[in-house]
Amino acid sequence: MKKYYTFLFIIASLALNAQQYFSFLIPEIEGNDQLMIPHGIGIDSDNNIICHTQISDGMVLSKYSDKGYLQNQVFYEDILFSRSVFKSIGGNYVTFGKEGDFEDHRNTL
Amino acid sequence: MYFFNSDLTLEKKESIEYQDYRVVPIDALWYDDFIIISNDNRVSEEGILHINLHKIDLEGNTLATKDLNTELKVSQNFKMVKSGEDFLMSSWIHDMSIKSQVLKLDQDLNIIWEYVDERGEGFGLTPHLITELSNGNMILSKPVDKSNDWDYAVNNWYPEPTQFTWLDSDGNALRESVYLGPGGNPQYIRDVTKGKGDYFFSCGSWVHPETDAEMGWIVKYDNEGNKIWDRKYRHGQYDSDERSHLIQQIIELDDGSIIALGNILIPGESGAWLLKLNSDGCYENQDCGENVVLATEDKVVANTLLSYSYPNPSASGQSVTFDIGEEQIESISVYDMNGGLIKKQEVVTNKGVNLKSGVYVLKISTGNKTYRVRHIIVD
Repeated sequence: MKKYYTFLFIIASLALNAQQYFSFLIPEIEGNDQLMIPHGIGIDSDNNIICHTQISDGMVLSKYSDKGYLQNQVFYEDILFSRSVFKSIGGNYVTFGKEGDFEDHRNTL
Repeated sequence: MYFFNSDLTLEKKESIEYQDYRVVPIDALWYDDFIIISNDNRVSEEGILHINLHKIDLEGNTLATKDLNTELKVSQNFKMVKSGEDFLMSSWIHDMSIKSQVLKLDQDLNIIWEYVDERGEGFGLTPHLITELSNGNMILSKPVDKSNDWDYAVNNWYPEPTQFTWLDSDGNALRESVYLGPGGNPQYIRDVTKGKGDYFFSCGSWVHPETDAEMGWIVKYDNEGNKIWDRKYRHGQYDSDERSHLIQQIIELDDGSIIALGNILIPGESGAWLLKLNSDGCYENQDCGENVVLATEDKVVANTLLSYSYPNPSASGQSVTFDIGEEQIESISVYDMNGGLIKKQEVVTNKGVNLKSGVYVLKISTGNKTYRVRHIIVD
């Protein structure tokens, strides 16, 4: 059974500020200049925001609280998720997309 | 389908194998026990686009499939939305000209009715979008054909004028409204969205008729199409005519506030833009006026400090362990905060990169995934 890594969080002092509305660019963890293309958003039962964004070689999934604070951000290489975003099932998520070459050749949905 | 834990780690996936030339996932509808997904499917390099529908249970088993091109001349799918127990799908078809189409289908993928706007449209660049209203009618958003209007095509080719068509629950056109501003059409609609009350939203970009500057744009309408509010948005840091802004998708929360995902684009750069607005489309609880440009600065500095490494910060020369479970690290690339590659190291254990003091972004590659972590080294 595959064991997955765990996330640790460092909560910035800004998290104490009850900011309700926001506007910001979703940061790229790597800090490079790759194109970051939005694909879609979804909301779970706690109003967390799940964002699909594409960079050149895969997808970045970002999870924000409804106050705009980052909860998790994970990169998946060679996967393209669709515009339609997550269904939340008991705190977990399901989505669909495709793997492989994004432009042509045979594909897997 | 991809199944994720709450921390966005991939738990499992279920796949549909295609033998055709190109497959593009488009949209999905989620039900309690199954999902319905749509994809465009180019069956050969020269072939036309098909739309395939799949009904799949949450274990990944296929319950039903449908190739819509066996019955209809369907070309490109844009959106699906639920309509009671059934669902709606908007697309365009290429039949001598580009024509807008709406299908209503049941959960077994049988077509209940089809609506086609025979007048066609021009360039095929604008999505054809459907949403259902609280009174059971539907709004179809599509561009008006201006391809034969030479003056318009030369001077105002983009975006094409937007037309809303109201359909009743049986797919009959009730009325329509064309939005055309002075000097051309200023509106590109990227989505139409049902509201939680007797209203709906459109979002996209508003294009200045003289400068072609694009601003993010959201309009809230009542069910009859009267505007409740109409606002344009820019990110304060990129507040210039050279930066194109687009609102791509919105979600209304139960309290009426709005989550929006957008895009800011300049040559060679692109940013994914996340907004939360109140029910008046403003950042604060007071009225922010008509047609205002908002967000003079980032409202929140997002916390990006995730960690797969410890200790973090660590001392110079100290070994750093990367907590990625039982996966084997194949390489670690070290970047400075400007994105410049400092070094790439092939490794055979989960330990061992030495760095001088500073702030770094580490790209950790395993056989299956790539992880990124911001790591601080102190003296």
